[in-house]
Amino acid sequence: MQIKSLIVGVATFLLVACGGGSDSDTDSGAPPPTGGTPPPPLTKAAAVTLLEQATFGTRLNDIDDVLNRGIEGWIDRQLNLSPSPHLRYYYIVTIADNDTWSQHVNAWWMRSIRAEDQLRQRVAFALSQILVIGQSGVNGNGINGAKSISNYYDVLLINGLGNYRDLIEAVTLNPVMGEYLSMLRNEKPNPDKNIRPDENYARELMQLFTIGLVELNLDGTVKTDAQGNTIPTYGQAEIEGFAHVFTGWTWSNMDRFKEWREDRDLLGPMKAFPDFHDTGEKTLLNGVVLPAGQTPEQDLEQALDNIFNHPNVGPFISKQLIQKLVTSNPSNAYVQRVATIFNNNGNGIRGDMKAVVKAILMDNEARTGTTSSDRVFGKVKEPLLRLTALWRAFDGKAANGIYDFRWVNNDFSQGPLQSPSVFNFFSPFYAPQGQFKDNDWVAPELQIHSEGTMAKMTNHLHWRVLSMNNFANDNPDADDILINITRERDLASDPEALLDHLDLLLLAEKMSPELRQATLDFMATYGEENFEEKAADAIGLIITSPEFAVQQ
Amino acid sequence: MSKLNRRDFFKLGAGTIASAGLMNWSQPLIAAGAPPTDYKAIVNIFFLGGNDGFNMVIPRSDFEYNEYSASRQNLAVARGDILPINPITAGGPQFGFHPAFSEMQQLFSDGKLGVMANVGNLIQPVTKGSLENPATPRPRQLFSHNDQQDQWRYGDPDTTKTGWGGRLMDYKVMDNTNALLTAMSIGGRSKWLVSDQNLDISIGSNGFDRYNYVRPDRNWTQDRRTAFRSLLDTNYSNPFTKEFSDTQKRTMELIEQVGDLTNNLADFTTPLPQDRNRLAESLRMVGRMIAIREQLGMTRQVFYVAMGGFDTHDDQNTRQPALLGQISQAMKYFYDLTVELGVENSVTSFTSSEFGRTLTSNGDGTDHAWGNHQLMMGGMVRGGDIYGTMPSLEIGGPDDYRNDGRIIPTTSVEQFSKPILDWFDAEPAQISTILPNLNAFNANAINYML
Repeated sequence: MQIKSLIVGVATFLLVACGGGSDSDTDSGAPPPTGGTPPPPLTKAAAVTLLEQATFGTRLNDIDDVLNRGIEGWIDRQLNLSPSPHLRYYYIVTIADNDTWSQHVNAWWMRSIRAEDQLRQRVAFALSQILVIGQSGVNGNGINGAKSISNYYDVLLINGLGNYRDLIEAVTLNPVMGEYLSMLRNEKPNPDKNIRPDENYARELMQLFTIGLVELNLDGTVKTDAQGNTIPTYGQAEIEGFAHVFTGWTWSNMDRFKEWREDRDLLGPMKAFPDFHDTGEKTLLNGVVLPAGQTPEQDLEQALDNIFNHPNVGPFISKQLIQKLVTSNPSNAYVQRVATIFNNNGNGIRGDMKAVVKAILMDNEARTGTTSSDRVFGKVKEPLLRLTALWRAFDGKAANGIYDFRWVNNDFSQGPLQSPSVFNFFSPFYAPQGQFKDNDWVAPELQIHSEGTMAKMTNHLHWRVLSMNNFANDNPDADDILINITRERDLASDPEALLDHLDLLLLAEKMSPELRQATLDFMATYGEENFEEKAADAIGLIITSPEFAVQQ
Repeated sequence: MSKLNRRDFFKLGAGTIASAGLMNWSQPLIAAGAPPTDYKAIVNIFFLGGNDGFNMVIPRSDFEYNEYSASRQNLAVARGDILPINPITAGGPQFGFHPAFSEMQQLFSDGKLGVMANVGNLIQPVTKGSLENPATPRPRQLFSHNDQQDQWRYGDPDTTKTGWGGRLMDYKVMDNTNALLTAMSIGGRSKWLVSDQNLDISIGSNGFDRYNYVRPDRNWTQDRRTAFRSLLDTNYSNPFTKEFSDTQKRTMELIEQVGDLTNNLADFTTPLPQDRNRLAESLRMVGRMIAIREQLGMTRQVFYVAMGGFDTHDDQNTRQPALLGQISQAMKYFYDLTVELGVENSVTSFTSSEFGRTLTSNGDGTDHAWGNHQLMMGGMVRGGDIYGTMPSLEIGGPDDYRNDGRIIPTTSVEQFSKPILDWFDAEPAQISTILPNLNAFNANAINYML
């Protein structure tokens, strides 16, 4: 069989790539790898591996697109597509029902499943789990609340492939973030009333959005002092310095600082009222002290510059993006290559996110799956990405054109901008007991795969495949999201051919012999005919299999 | 039991998991032996975000209330609204509960609820004076949510990466027919229950969901079930795939062998609080597990239940009363439930939270601080009293770490935890493993158990 011989070819190449050393190309972070190793042959399977890392799931024609453009050509085109903003959803779709506050989830589905700028959308989803807001902590109700959350996502979408300095400024001044981490209406001290500035945003901006708690090396490992102790990036004095910086800001359409109105502007950047801004000196990172008497805007600009230029930002953000897109335990050299690009894109620019994302995806470690000998390549997929992959692979859509599925969290323990706290659904440091902890590996996504959640996820995926396909549900409601498995039904008369097709589309041709045999045996229980059932159950088995839950 | 060293524990622990069916589909999880004669459970109720305990337990005497009121300003509870409590140990200043705590006031006066004053993460006993020396050890990353949660759960400033609930489980699994059910979290994985030697599990507050499309009891699902299960019996070399598969398999087994027992329980007669109360729903699930303890052969169990929303940087005067009201109703519900189940003397609950909050405000909310009050509840708690040392609430006073209302703890988490371990029959040598830093403190300074 042609496809099987192709698999052998790829495997042979991987052995060569191991010898070639994935840690050698420290300068550009771009293939081809040095040392005479040839660039990976661009197979269909290699294209699917890229699409798993860079999109919300593989469609057959995406594979052709990658093959036609090449890896770099495909990435470049994706990076330069104009953004498909989520806020526009509200002008495309007529929102009819009363339960409008959660419409931002439906906007997310429409873009994540159908938008052309898949890479940008996928990066925004990753950033939405680093620069976190949680719907439950956002005060906006009704349609304006929904729009404000989609608008926050658009901040990540647009700036996520811009410059990280601009991103943190846009996030800092976004009124939804302002409400969520209480920088909005944070005011200067009033000693008579024992009032001091709110420390919430100052703390989480540094701990979670930019530099983390301890000093890092360029390769993401933790720095230690002469006694072997970690080195804190900041103390309470710096927290208080930044807390004083972030005083005096409120909604853009207020006439007075203390004013509140139902029509408060939840979309545009906050504006400052200088009378409520602290004008004293402020201690920032690395001993920098802002002078007294500056405007709110001057303090904010200089404080964000101070954070942005901290050496931790590159490794801290680069590693987390690698973990979200490619692999949970990148080699130190991989992190260093990407962080180096973060620090300087080659043209002297720091924080160029297009260069960073390209460095992550073009890296030899991402492309060949080879990593340092003490690590294991790959990751558990985020639960939601299993459903997006299903809908993209089999053109899931509803007759009314809407993806109306808001209570995502209940079944998937994860939903767009629905984190229970600013610490996201799972920690980047989570390691299950056993071989992960023993080897110092992390598996962040496994934190939400527990005895309390596995059945819900599995049931939902089974239902989406077995009950919500175009044959099982032949009289759908307008909002039923159905997958189309006609193509697979037609292949089901040749089970081996169907398996080859699904292996490529869903597993980048990494299907184990056990999964293949189990699927074939299962299809055989349907006898000679029943092609619709055979196709649906073959997909259902693969989609709920341990192998599909993992990206390698 | 006490003769076992840790190496033996490892063997026994692993064997116990296997015999509980974790690695073997064919073995039933249900105990066949005689029901145990003695049952004990501890329940750790964690308030995520940092509960403002200094507005939960409030001074009422003239001097102390005025100090409280001057410090807390617009966040202070009006004196007339405080619910009085009358500790057994009389004399000294008077105290009361927040007005949303009426159920807790009742339970306190019934002697089933105690207050632990000003407890927090510490490395050694400290004072304001000793802390002025930068060399004096103190918890790393004070005021950071996840770091302080971790230290509380690990019970160890050196972050051994196992929780003290998990280490306690290691000494108790052999008392249970089903080791896998020794340590359970309701609503999410908890680092408090992590062990190097045994598995803890996490389930939702509604209990066990069936795998609808691969049920064991429907003819039409059998071929699919065979295929689905065969994938969970595959030996995966990729550790991610293996871990996912093992968790799926364990979940399926739990649901099929324990799920029926809980799902078939008659409803409890103790009514849930009228308003939606997620903490009460989680505690109801704990009650369900306790209700089937004899069928499962359980004698010692450790439960973790968490409630979020306590990070009240904003709008505290609205948010905190709602939170405290939910705590009060949920904890009273759970105590009543243990009475209904006849286990009120076998179940001890205690509260945790990563830190207290600043006495000063940021306008309409509070920021991260350190010391905090906690609660202990159960029939074997010597309730109706306040334990430990009440701090001065004066800004810039003797207990104010940085002169902005962050109170230095006067009791360590280890000291607070120790009486529960004694009650749970952990032996001294075991306690030194479970709470390795206890010996930095007076280990027997606090005892609130009967």
